[in-house]
Amino acid sequence: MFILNAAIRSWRQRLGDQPDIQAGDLDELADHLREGSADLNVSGLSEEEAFLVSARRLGDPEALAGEFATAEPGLRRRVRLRWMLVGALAMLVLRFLGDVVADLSTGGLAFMSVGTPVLGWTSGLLRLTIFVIGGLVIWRILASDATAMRIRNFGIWSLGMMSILVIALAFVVAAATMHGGTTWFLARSVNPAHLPDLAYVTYWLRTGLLLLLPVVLILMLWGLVRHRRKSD
Amino acid sequence: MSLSKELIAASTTPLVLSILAQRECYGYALIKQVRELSGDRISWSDGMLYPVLRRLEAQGLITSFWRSAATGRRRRYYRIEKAGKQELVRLQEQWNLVGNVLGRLWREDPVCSY
Repeated sequence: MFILNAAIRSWRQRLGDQPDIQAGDLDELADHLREGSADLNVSGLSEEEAFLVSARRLGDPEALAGEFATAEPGLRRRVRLRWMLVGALAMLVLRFLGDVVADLSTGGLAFMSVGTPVLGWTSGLLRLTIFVIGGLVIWRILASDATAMRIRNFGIWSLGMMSILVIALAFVVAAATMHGGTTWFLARSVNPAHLPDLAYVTYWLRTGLLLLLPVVLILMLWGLVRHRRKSD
Repeated sequence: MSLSKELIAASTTPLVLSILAQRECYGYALIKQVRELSGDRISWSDGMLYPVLRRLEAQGLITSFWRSAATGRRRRYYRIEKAGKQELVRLQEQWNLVGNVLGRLWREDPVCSY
């Protein structure tokens, strides 16, 4: 038995594999397909025939994607740049979160008079853990079909980007405030003689994390490109 | 009589801009209106219109926006921009010029003065 919604979903998936057709275009074309099918159905064709004729009129996915690519040659690059921006913002937020949690715990340990090397390693390990786990979670969320669907349904892409920017900014401001607070707390709690050692260990751990950034970013982008627009 | 592919392609932009100069519209309705106005003689292949709309939008001649249709589904509409209206005036002049020249040639005796 023919089910129109299932047929349109399957058609969308085939078209969604084309890298030059964006999520909004898919929605628009699917709407066209639906309305065209309805018109043909009213004029006497069966639902299945109407769908097939309407899909045929829209053209085959490869040819359609070629037309879209010609119409807007730089689009694919711009979309990738946007995703890179999202990835960079995510990294920024994660770094700040990692700093805050690590500093809070370091401050707590210092308050309990634990030795300086332990403080440094604890801080570094916490940052690394938060960075890796947070990165994996964000990757999973961004790459999931459901999120792609939600972003598209949110409507205007720029509005979605604006929301991400605002959320990231809020995170950064909050984290920076907490960061300042914990630094002040550390300066008061840790023995000044131990501060150079603490700074040395923390510096190398932070450098190590920074070296991981491009690798994680590339992995995230690879995941996004692979899973892009297979929603619905 | 159906039009050649080249003529259909050349007339797409002025047709789209002319319809959008009258009212906001969505893709399927644009195709239907052109088909009706031309008595089915200008028949765009359905998929061809959307890349053209993307190109016109990238050129700043039109903009798109999403609105809920009567069915409750969201639908992408298009409206003409100021630059689009200026482009339409320019295209009208060009098409009028071509129409006038061809009209004169086909009405009058073909006399070549050179």
